[in-house]
Amino acid sequence: MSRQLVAALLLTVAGSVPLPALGEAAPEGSHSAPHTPEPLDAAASEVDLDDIVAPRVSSETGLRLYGFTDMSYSKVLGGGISPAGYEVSSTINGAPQHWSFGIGNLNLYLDGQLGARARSLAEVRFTYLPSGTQDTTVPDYAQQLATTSWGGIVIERAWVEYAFSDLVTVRAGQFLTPYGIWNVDHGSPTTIAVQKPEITSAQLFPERQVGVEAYGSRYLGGARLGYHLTLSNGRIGDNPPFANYSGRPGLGGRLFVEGTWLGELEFGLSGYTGRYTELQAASPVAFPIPPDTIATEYDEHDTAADVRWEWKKVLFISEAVYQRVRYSDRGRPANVVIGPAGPIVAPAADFWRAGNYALAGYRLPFDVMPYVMWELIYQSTGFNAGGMVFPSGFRAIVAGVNYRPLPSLVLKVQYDLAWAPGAPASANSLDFVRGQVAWAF
Amino acid sequence: MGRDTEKLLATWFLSLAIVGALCAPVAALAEPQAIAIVVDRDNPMSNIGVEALRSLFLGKRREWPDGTRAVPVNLEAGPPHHAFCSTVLRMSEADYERYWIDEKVRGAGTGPRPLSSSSLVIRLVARVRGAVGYVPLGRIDGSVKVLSVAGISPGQPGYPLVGNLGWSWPELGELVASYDAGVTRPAAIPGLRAGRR
Repeated sequence: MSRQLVAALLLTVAGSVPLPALGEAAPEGSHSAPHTPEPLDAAASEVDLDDIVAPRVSSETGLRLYGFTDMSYSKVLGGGISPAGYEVSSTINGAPQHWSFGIGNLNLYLDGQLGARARSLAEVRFTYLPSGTQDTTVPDYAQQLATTSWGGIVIERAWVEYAFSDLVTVRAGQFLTPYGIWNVDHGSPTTIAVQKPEITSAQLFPERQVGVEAYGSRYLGGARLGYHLTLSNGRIGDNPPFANYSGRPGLGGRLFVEGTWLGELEFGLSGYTGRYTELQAASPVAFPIPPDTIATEYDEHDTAADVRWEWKKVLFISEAVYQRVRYSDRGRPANVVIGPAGPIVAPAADFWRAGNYALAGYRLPFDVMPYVMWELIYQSTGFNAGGMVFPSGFRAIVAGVNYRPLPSLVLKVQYDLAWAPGAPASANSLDFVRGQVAWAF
Repeated sequence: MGRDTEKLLATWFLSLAIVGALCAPVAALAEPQAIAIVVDRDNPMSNIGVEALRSLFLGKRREWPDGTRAVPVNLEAGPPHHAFCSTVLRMSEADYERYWIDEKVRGAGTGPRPLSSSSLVIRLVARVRGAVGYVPLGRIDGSVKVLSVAGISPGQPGYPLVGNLGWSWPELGELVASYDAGVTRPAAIPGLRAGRR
């Protein structure tokens, strides 16, 4: 008899016999029936099972490749910098005067499971830069008479970690600073809005650090308590990530508690302190070579608080960040400030910056989530942003829709209105529309 | 048996199979079935809470109380996975998939590996210290240990992990695959064996 006939017979029998109901289950303590090897087990090789438990690092099993990409559409609708003469810089800063499509992030993850408790992760971002900020057009050596523009690679993170227990995992390498919500959510498929809030992109906290991080968590009753501790070179800034010119470590940490109180609720508190020293390299052609000079040096103390709350269809996330900067006497830079009487050069003053954002969304059927977001960033008069001083800070209102037709595919569209009450009237407001398709692979 | 007769019989049995397969979920709708939480036999646990189970499958807890590394394994999409997601994880299957995509982007890893059949889950759990999985109660054999959940054993009144499991395609595929392997016998049919107990 053919295999198809026997399979059909078996299906008939199986389909006609009701599956076991609760009342037919074996009584407590006797769930185990005599073990009859299941036929399909023959199809699962020993190698497959081993790979599930502790994948080996090889091109076929242990190294997982994945990542995310996004393409955005941007168009300034009104206000802001005059289109005449500033289109290149405004485009590079993400607010093109004419409508533009652009690949924003193309990030690749290399995830290696080194063992049951050891794991490594490298994330690199492929970027068009420096094309756009400089002419990188060169002849394409692979195509006669053609040209190409070369770009760069950003190392987003690269670390290895070992999990001693749930309470202690130690990580070494370059990592995203564990503070708040957005800096860790990090990727465009995960974040709700099209772009990061200003307090995150302005890096009141260092975005990433190179050093050592310890983290862990423990459940107490229904609550999960966790921590992160970081020891690093400190803020990278304009320094190479592999240098610590201050000679002092950057120290940081985060405490969080999460639980199922009125939905899913998480609170976090973060802090960072460190000294940033930026050197001006000496001229290598002079003899004798003069010592390096200190271009900028300051101590900073940063604190942040965050909350994330999901209740039924409602999502609410908010962060507040405060940064305090004090220059050293030897590292206080001179700033060009545009005052009422024109540009003047003055020693930079110590300053502080603070800001917050709050995003609220409601998930409709079919994974459609309309959202609104409020942003505020405020700084003392000492803060200098490229010669422009905005003592009253910036404010922004964002309204948009996040639609996730597939778990790995997200479509977003949003309207932004930003304004700076203390800025000159010619540049005190900006509104634009943005769209984005982001996908994880 | 002639080739034509064989084809005729095959068509007839296949028709009955389709009718049977359509009827089985209807019967199952009236009688929710238990999903058993299975661990390796060396695991000292005998009971687990729903929240602890949830945290294991969300990657928020990665070890057992004795320090053994936990190795949660999922079933691929199907009625048992659907029931597990809704009763333990309190989310849809799509939400669960989205959760792990987000975790992946954050750098937290890729989440429990989905396996294609209950028998594969049982086999892995039986072999691997610290493994934990979920399978329909009727698929359990003596190679694994079944945990009670929130102090209630599967099959007892009030057991929290129940669902209308119906007939799942992985099991259908399993039957055909096992026949192709030439080792199928009626005793291996899920439901039949449990029903005879």
